[in-house]
Amino acid sequence: MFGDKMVTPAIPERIFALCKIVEKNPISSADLKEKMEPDYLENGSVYFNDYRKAAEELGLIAISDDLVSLAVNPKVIKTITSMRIYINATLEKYNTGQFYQVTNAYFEKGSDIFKEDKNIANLSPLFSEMTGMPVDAMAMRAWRFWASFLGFGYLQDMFIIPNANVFLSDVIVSSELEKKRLYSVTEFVNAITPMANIVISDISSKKFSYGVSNGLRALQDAGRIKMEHIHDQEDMWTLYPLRAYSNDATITHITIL
Amino acid sequence: MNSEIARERISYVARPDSITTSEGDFLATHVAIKKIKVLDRFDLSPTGGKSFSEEDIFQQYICNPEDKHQFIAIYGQSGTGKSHLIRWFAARYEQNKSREEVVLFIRRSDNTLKGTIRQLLEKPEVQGISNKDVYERLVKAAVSIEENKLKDLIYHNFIIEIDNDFDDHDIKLTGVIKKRLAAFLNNEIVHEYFLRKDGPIERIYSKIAEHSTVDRDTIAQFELQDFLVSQDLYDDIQRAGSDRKAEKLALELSSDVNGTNMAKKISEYLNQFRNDVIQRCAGIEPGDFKQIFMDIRRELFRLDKKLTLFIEDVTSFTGVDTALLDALIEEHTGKREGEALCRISSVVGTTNNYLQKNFKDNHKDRITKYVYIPSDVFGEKGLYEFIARYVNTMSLSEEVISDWVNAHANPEDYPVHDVVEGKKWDYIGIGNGKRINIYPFTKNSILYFYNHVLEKGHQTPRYIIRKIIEPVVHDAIFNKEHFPSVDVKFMSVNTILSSRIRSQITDQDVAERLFKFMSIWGDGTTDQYKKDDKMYVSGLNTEVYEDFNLPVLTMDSIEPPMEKQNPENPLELSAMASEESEISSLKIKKVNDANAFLTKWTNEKKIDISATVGVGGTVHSAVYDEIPNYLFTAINWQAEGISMDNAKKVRDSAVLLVALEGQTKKDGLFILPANWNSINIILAFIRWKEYGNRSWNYPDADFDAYLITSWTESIKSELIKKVSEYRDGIETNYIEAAVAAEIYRTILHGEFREKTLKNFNLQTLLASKSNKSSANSHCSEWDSLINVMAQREADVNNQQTVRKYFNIEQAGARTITVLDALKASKVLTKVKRQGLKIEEEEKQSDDRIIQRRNAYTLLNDIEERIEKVAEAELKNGRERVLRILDAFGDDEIGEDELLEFISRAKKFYEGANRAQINIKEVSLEPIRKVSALAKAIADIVAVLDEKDPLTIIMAFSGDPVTVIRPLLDVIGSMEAEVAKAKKQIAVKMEGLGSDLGDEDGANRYASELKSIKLSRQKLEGLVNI
Repeated sequence: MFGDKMVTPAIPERIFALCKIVEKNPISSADLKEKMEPDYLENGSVYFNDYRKAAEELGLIAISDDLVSLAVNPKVIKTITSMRIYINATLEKYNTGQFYQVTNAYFEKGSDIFKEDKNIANLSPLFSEMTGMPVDAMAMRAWRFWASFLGFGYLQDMFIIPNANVFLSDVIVSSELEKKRLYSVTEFVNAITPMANIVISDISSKKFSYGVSNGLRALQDAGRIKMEHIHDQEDMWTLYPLRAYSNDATITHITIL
Repeated sequence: MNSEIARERISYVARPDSITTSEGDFLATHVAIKKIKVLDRFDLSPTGGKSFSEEDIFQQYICNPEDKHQFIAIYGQSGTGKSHLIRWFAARYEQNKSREEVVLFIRRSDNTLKGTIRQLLEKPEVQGISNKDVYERLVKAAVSIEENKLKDLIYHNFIIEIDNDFDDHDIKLTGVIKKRLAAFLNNEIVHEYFLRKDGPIERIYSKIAEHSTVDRDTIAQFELQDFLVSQDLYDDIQRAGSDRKAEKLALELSSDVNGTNMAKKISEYLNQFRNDVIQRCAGIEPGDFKQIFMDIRRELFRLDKKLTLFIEDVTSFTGVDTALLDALIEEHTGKREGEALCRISSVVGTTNNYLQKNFKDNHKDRITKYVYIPSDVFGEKGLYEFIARYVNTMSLSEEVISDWVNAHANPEDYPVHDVVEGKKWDYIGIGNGKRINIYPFTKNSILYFYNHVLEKGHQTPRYIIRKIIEPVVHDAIFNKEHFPSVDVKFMSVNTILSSRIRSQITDQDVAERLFKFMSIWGDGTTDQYKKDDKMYVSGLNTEVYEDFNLPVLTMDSIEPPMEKQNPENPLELSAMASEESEISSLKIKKVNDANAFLTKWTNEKKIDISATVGVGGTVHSAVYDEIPNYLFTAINWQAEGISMDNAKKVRDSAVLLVALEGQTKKDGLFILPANWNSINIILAFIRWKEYGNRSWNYPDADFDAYLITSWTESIKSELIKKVSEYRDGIETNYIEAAVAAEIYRTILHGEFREKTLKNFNLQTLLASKSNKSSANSHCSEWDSLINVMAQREADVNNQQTVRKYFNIEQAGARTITVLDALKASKVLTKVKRQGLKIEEEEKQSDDRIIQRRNAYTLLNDIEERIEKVAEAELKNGRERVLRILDAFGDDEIGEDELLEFISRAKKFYEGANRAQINIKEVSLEPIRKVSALAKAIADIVAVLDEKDPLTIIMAFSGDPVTVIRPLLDVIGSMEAEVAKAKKQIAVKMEGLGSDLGDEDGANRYASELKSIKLSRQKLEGLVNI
């Protein structure tokens, strides 16, 4: 899913449910499968391997002698939100994977994504071209679940509206940034980019993409951060201009509230 | 403006009825009209042709240079300034008239029949007319009936006319319809409806009553709309239990198809009686009026005078209008010459509608000139001047105005007020080097109000005064701290401006005021520029904001604009002229209409969006479809701990995911407050649908997409809470009821046959196989409960609820179930531990989500019956098992006893066979499975003293009565056959005789014994030889 090709059955909620089962005691793969997809349900197909593999890729579980056990501190899977924060903090590990590359291209596309097809599955040729790796329709369908869950945007039917506020909120939590301290934008970006290169790939441009700008503005509206433009400061970044939001799209400082 | 003076003067100056203002105020506010048309023939709405100024008309026609009989009709829409013009003509004429001319100016100040006659009789020139005493008595006999009684009198007089209609009018109704109409009008609800404020009876009443507030141009007649019956009115009529005839007509009038035709016919039919009813209720006869007029003309002729008559409003004469017109068009020459009537020149004001409908053709033909005042009587400059003169007049004391009038009211002496408030505001030039400050107006605001507040047809002086000048000035004087508070619909919200204001100002009231001010008083843009060392924001000098204590925000700096060239017709500027041209004007209008509709909602805090068409339909679609559809996918319900089964149940329920504050006829989980932020959200969805054809591909969609996504995050936690909770702070737990009901179902259907729930596991819960056997021996109560559960497939639906609830669903893939095993086990364990019971106080049987409530309904159906089912089933089982125990003579029957029974039964048949007893042999084959029999008997015996219904029904789940039925059959048959055998043996025994020594018995075998004895002796004799 993250290391290689994206598959639809590996949805985050299934991974979380799997982790919760193995949290207390290791369990054999067969027993685990039987708990989540018991034979008596007569499903016909088996999805188990897909989400088990994704959980393993993410380092949430380990498999040894066919015994599946939790590979992270139980706090990580205390809630699905804590699991999400953990995954968002570790995404950079999979920067050659399909998910990472597609997400990166999606943010690069900015608001031009609105000019494309409303069904994300039909955008596989576009993302194949942008990422330079084959991305099929199924991969795009799988991507939407994770893009929505990890907070890169909001799912509207088969389309994702860019707004990275949840993702940014998570990486701020995972960063060392202190509350109530005025950071220059570069300091802020440096603090989060070890985890946020997926959405801020070109630091030298000093421009936040549409999706990231939406995220930052939403966090500001929610009272989580405060963005300021302090005059005579050279360290200046530009948000995607939204005239209705503000007449000034440049910021120099961010405070975590 | 000088508000100190204006607060006293506003109510005198800003009067929509020009006739009631003082002479000074009238002249000080007068703006010359220059677009008047003069016609020889009536034309409802003339276009083109030459335009005349009021001075032209005065000189050429009103002054009557040829001294001839003439009848000039001045017409135009209501409020266009007919009265104003007639008053101006009358005033001018008074100054220019010859000595023999008598001028009668008939005002409509008291606007009644009697009031009009009274005005005629008050003229000094007619004091000597004949019959004056009679006329005065007639007029003075004022209608002293109180308002409600008089209205009732009018109303019932129409009913009397219907009841006594002998089809002698042009428009006829069938007998059936007449009866229905009379019944309809006699209905209490209809009566109330017709007598409501501004209703049809009030219109007619206004022509009779001495005081009335009805629009003076209103025609006293029924309109088609009066008879259209809305669904609400129809429901009220029905609820009130009306006459069937009334109900039938109400139904017909409520029909979309025929309602309009019928309403039109009825209104026209009733209008035929209008004159009769009005005259009867006013106590005047038509002949009276004509007679008065003729007498006046005769008197004037006698005095060698001529009559010039100005009638402000001919509609005042409703009821005697025909008689009046006859009197006016009567020339003083020709056939009436001998009657010695004076010459008459009449200038009569009337509305288009009245002239068209109430003037008969012979009257129209004899009108000398038609003078038409168009609705948009002012040009842009005229409009500014009109408002400026009103603002000025109310800022000047009465004395100043009087002095000016007394000094001949020369334009060059026109007084201009000293500006106290609004020195930095716009000024309007009015000629003669005079400039008037128009605070609290700007040119932008005047144009906006004129174009968007005044409806088409109401862009007339009267409505400019009533809807623009009076409310805005009043607001600025008496409500300055909240200015502008007037209710104005926004034709086009500049979302960017709106958001910019709201992102900088937290006080919602201030934000709303500022937005309104910048949008309507300003140019509605986010531009700011510096010009002549002054800062302008939204086209307004920043000092203008300060006058109303409004904050000045920093906006987008631009170069100062070039001086604008005035467009040809700025009054018709489209509010959305600057919008992107790629979006159709129809769609823009749709969004703008929705915007106005929603703005009204924020003011009134209530909204009805039940309609699916029109502007209500646009918002309906957003609230019922676009918003919930979006939220359903945008929120990751499962990740938030909500089963998709619950989320879908909420989505599919009658309760809206998101409803509007004050929304009638619908309930919602999350309530969008009636504020600007909500409008922006709803409009974003409407634009997405309309502008983007369900996409974000349209200008400024990037902001809309930001709006709705950030809004989603802001409401997410509350919405999730609402979906996951049954009531505030109480989690929904319908799944427990559903699981309990499903367990009951598996037991009652014999799918789970164990005696305790211990082994009831997830497999049984989620994948139990249906019991195929059709026949059973359950009691009728048992079968009846199963039937109740199956009603409307409640049992099947509940089973689906249980099977879907624990599925971790992947959108788009429905067939594969991936279990949330921990959650499923937890719920099942809890339900089992509680013995399938949910405490009454924990039940959520009134959950407003009906799809969730169904689980409780089903469980309640089961619980209500289960005790009786268990009781009846136990009785049924007890009777049968006791029969077996009795037959066996034992209270414990196991496999050994059953085998013994079978063995003894076999022996019985063998013995009978040997003894040649003729009985029917019952097959023992059905009872050979002794283990099943023993279990069934034991199952029943085990619960014979049981009280717990669940334990009892579990004991009977496997239908043990059906299992023991063959044994009961065998026992029954055996008992019958044993009895039969006994009978046969008895008969045989009887044949053998008694062994008790009775005589017959002793002798029964005597001959055989004798024979045996003889034979023995013979045989012994042979041996002894």
